[in-house]
Amino acid sequence: MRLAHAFAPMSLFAAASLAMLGNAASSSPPSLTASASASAAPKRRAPERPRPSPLANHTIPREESEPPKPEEWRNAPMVAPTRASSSASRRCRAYLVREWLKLNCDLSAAAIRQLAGPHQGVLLWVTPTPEGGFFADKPMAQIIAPMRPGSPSVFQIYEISGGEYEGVWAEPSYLLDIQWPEAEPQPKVVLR
Amino acid sequence: MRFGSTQFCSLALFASALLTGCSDRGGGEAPTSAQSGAQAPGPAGSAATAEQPRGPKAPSLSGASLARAAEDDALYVADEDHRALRVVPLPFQRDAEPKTIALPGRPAQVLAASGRVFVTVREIDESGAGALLVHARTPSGLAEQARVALPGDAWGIAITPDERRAIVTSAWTAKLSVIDLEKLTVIATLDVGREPRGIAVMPSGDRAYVSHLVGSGVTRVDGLAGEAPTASSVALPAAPLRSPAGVELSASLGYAAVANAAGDRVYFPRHALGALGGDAWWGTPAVDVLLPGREGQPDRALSGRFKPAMPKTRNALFEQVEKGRPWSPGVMPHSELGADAFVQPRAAVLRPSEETLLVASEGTDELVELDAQLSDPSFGVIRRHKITIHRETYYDVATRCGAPSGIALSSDEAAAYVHCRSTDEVVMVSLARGDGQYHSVPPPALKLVAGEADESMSLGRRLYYNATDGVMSGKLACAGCHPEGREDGHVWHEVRFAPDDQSDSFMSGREPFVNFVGHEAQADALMQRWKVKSEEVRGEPGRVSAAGHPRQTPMLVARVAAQGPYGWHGESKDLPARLVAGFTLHRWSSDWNADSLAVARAGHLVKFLREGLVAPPRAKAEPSAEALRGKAIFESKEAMCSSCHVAATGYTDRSVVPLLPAPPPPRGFVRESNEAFKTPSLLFVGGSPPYFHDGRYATLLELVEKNADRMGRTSHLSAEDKKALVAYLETL
Ligand code: HEC
Ligand code: HEC
Repeated sequence: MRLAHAFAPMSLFAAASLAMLGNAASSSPPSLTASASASAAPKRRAPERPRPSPLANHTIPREESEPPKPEEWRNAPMVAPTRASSSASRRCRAYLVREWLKLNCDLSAAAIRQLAGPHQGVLLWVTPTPEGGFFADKPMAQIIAPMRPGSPSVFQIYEISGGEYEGVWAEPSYLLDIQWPEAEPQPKVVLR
Repeated sequence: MRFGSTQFCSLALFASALLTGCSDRGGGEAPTSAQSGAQAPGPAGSAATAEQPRGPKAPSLSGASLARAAEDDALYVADEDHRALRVVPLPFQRDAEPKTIALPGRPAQVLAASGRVFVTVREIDESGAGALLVHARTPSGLAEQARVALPGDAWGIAITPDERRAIVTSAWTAKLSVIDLEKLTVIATLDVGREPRGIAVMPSGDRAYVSHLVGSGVTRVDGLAGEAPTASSVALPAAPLRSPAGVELSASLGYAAVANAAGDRVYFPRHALGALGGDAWWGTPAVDVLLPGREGQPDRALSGRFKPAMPKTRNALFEQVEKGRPWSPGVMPHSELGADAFVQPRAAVLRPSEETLLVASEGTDELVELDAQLSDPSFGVIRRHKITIHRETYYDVATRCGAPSGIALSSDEAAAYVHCRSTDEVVMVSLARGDGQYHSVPPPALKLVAGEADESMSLGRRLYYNATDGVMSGKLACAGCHPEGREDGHVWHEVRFAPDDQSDSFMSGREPFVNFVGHEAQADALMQRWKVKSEEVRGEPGRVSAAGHPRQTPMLVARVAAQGPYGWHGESKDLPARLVAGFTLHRWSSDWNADSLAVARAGHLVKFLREGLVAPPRAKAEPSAEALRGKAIFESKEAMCSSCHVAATGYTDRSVVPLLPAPPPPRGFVRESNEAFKTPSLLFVGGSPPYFHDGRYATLLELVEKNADRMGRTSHLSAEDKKALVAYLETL
């Protein structure tokens, strides 16, 4: 298992459309700059990270807005989901801009699927498989999605298991569950 | 639910403190002799007004087969199989002697309130009527205080937070009773859908929701606090996140309904028929969460619905996995997370301190702890508490703690008491906090009854609920499709698959096999996943429109006395043969064919099916004039019904006859060449819709009206005659 890294400021390339997300073109997610890899902390020491504030402390607009720009993500506060399993909170970090949520998880993801919910503006990203190997050096999975009243959404991350000898397969790992019943003032985000 | 502070006694919530400190003003006040058990069940309302007892409030507003006393000094177990209420002293000790209170009929649920213990009895003394027994806690133990007569098969109970109203479901008779707990009278008897079971009362006390054993709809009851409560049906399609695209699935096994303390979530753990995920031919578990509508708003499902054309991303490795091993985890569009969370959710409680939902998984002998905050908690298994202690070596069934069927939380929520029905035990399971887990500590178990004298019966009973034995089952027990010997109301697809020998699937090289699947889309998913083919499937991969032959689950109880034949086509000569044939249909592997392993299991099961299952209660009333007229028609030469449906042998002669002309199969199924079906028994037919092997008729009236002259003759009958015939069928 890999330790979490606190990522340096990031920028979103507008050109990274959904269509090219699956391509092994870039080795870092569209919302990351290469400077992320500069945080060359020794592997075993827990890196410092800002403490996330509870999602419930933020007022989240019920009106729809455009997906945030890269600069907005750069200054986005880190938020703690309503609930996250301990392993998910070790490996993932969530950020908030208006009603938009971004989730970064440090794991060897093979795929992400949206199972339900609005898909306008949704961005999914997994680290490409490295040449001649299975596991990328700093693998990451990223989900950017809106939280909309009355429109719950669910994302499933698939993680790579196995290794060189037994072969590899993909397994469902974390589930991101965003729910905002119309009658409730705030959304709930569960990561498990 | 947790203890609130007590109303009448400001002491701390320690059992001993409550008992000594409150007893002279508390439970001891109720008179021992009031309205006692010797009295025949009077008509509702005959019971005298009971003095409102005092004491700590009910730990749970919903009943179960197990309840913890409000005073925290005992557990009460509704021991249905032995017609008794057991009292287990607390604190829990495995060598404690439980007290036994014989009951006038089989109890289904028990609920402990302040100073009183309520027990539902399915049928009082073979009278056909059910009852709510009210016991008072007295210094010398429980004493029956009143008996409220209710429609037959009284099952679930819940009370309002002020303990002024009780709601009882009557399963077989599809009724719901609202009872005034001060006057001990029935305020209203409401007609509801088939097999109402679990009840969740909202914190306001004015509304409740009811689960059903059959079908995905749930019932809402309003106006509980007033004098004229009403019932309405709320649609709640099962497992929307695991449903085939654009399909609303049905459900079965809705034994429980649980509301959270805020009253903004109601949980319905059940089995989603036809839901997708992994190898799930049998469907998947689901916890469907309802958002109760506020201020006139309609109730809504919490969960979103699966949509296939959604954003996804994958890397080269995933593509490699997907191409190389289409059956490996992760490659099917539906998430497999929690698709095996539980099997046969027999009971559930919320654990508020952890915001988890504990579900008794009857088929796998587990207590499963789920994340109650998820939009379908079955996706979030936090812990599995294996409560089985030993397993047989020859049969993969529990020897200790089989078929968990009731749960009660300890007052500090650090332990759960679980009633294990098939082995007559109560176990105490330590619950961890957070994501932690206690490592396989065998939970202490207390035996309620000394071992069953008949070893075969005991095995038959344990096998019936068991979904782990690889010979009998591929993940669903007999009790999963034939709960209590009744049926799930579902029409299964019987499909013949042939492995594609050109593929590199693990299936290749196997013999063709026949399997039940829950929905045509499931056959489609399995064909892609296992790389199998089938001539009984219509449509392209990804958009299969029909698969297999229709097989409605038959009722077993009271219909398995005959020597044979069995099966809808009458293809099995006797009951053991049918069971062995059935094993191969209820699992996807053909590795365990009819050898001694299967035959031995069938032997014990036959014993349980014939002697262990209990028939639904029957009203003892004289048949109405209309039913008598219907009887005359049924037996008439013109209608000819009784020529095949012979009364003396359970309304069947077991002949296998084609009813011609055979209509095209219902949507989702393919036509079969064999058009001859076994004349089914009509015992209890009024309560087992839909009808015919393909479930084509939703009601008996529809069957009679659309029959024309295919089966016997009905075209000569007037509308009144047809109604009379149906009235008669309903008495069988
Ligand atoms: C997946 C659901 C399912 C499971 C699990 C299941 N059954 Fe059935 N059962 C059916 C269906 C559907 C039929 C009708 C099939 C037919 O007759 O062709 C049936 C038919 C039968 C019959 C024949 C009844 C008659 O009158 O002909 C018996 C007996 C029976 N099942 C007993 C069992 C037992 C015992 C088990 C457990 C080992 C079991 N079933 C498990 C669905 C199920
Ligand atoms: C020739 C023999 C025969 C006669 C006569 C006959 N039935 Fe049937 N009955 C059957 C068969 C066979 C089936 C099962 C058909 C199927 O599943 O497709 C059946 C099914 C039924 C069912 C549905 C049972 C269930 O659980 O699905 C009912 C109800 C019924 N018959 C009532 C009647 C009545 C009423 C009459 C007289 C008008 C009648 N039958 C005459 C053979 C007969």
